[in-house]
Amino acid sequence: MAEPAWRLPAAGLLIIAGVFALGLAGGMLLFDGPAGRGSTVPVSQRPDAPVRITIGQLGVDAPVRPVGLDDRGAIDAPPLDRADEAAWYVGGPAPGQDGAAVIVGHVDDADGPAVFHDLPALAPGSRVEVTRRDGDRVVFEVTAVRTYPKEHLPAEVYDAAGGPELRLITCGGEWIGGDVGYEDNIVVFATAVGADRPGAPGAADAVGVGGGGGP
Amino acid sequence: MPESRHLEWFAASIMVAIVAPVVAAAPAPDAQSGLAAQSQPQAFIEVNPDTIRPGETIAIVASCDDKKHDDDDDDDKITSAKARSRAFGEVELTTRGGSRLLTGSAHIPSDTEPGTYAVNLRCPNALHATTDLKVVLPAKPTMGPATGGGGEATGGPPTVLLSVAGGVVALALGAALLVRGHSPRRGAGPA
Repeated sequence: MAEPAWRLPAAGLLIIAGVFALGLAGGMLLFDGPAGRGSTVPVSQRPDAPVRITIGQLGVDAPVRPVGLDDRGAIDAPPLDRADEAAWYVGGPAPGQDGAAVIVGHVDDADGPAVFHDLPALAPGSRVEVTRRDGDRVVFEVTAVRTYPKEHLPAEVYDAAGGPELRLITCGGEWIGGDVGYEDNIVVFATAVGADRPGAPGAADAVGVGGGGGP
Repeated sequence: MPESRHLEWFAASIMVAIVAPVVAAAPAPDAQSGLAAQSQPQAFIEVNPDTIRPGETIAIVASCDDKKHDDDDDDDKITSAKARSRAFGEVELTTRGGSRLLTGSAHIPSDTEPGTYAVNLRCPNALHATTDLKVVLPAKPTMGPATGGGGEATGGPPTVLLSVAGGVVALALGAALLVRGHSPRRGAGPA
């Protein structure tokens, strides 16, 4: 059988694809921390809702919408046709306020990975950024990643002793189905380490009340 | 020589596996937006945020447009309408500047009971629309969220590891093909 004509082009394409994939992975690992330049601001106690979550290490950059509780007393997850979005629990503090702000996201939908699929890859020291409606971007540092059965989430998931903290919750463990889905929750614990205001021209704007919600 | 055939087929399938997700990830044309939606005039109302605690304020955006507006004829432009809800009573929505959108805000009193409230738009031209507002009290959840759809119930390695693994396999196969291409054993006989 003759030498296939596509062997050399195929070799070239494979090498290009390989370099591309490795570069992509490198980018995911290297990109960590605030991307844009903005003025540093104090972590504010304003109850402004989060609108976006960015986890550079995982390539996550997703909108965040407010949710309440469902009939079972669990935090509502985004509808499955919007599994690329995250949801902030309105019944707890806003990110940046004292206490544990909670943002949940799907691990997968019926077709495959969803917004919080890679949460287990986070480790102490990883950075998570949450942009709020007031424009502040609060930077959190991961302190722990733990797995619990859904019926037995310990108090520390929703309570924080000291200052502003963040919890990211998704699903893990065995698939049960029904209303429960997976048997476990994976919880990322994080603590606020700073805040900035992307695009702000200078620190003078940091204490302004511009852009507020009207009367 | 079956071994070489295997290598070639394996290489080809790996290429498909690498290229297919990239192609699939390319943004698909948005069939929902654009002309179809705009040529079907109807009133709408939206509240933002749509889930809040008592004591907070929501922004309201609505439209009472009852026909297509391709021109700059503003004679029939509706400049005010009312939004009503058991959560906040009634507020007036008005247009600002040259916009056709009606905007306003509503304060949800701090003694509002938790629950889902309808927010109704009443237009002067008899069009109407409705949306929902959820009022949530501070409370501790009693169960963990159902954050999975089951698409990969067995779990899976993080994307970054898949990317590394795919990259390494592709590089190795590419190199193998390159080397074979230069080997003196050409025309290895019938399969």
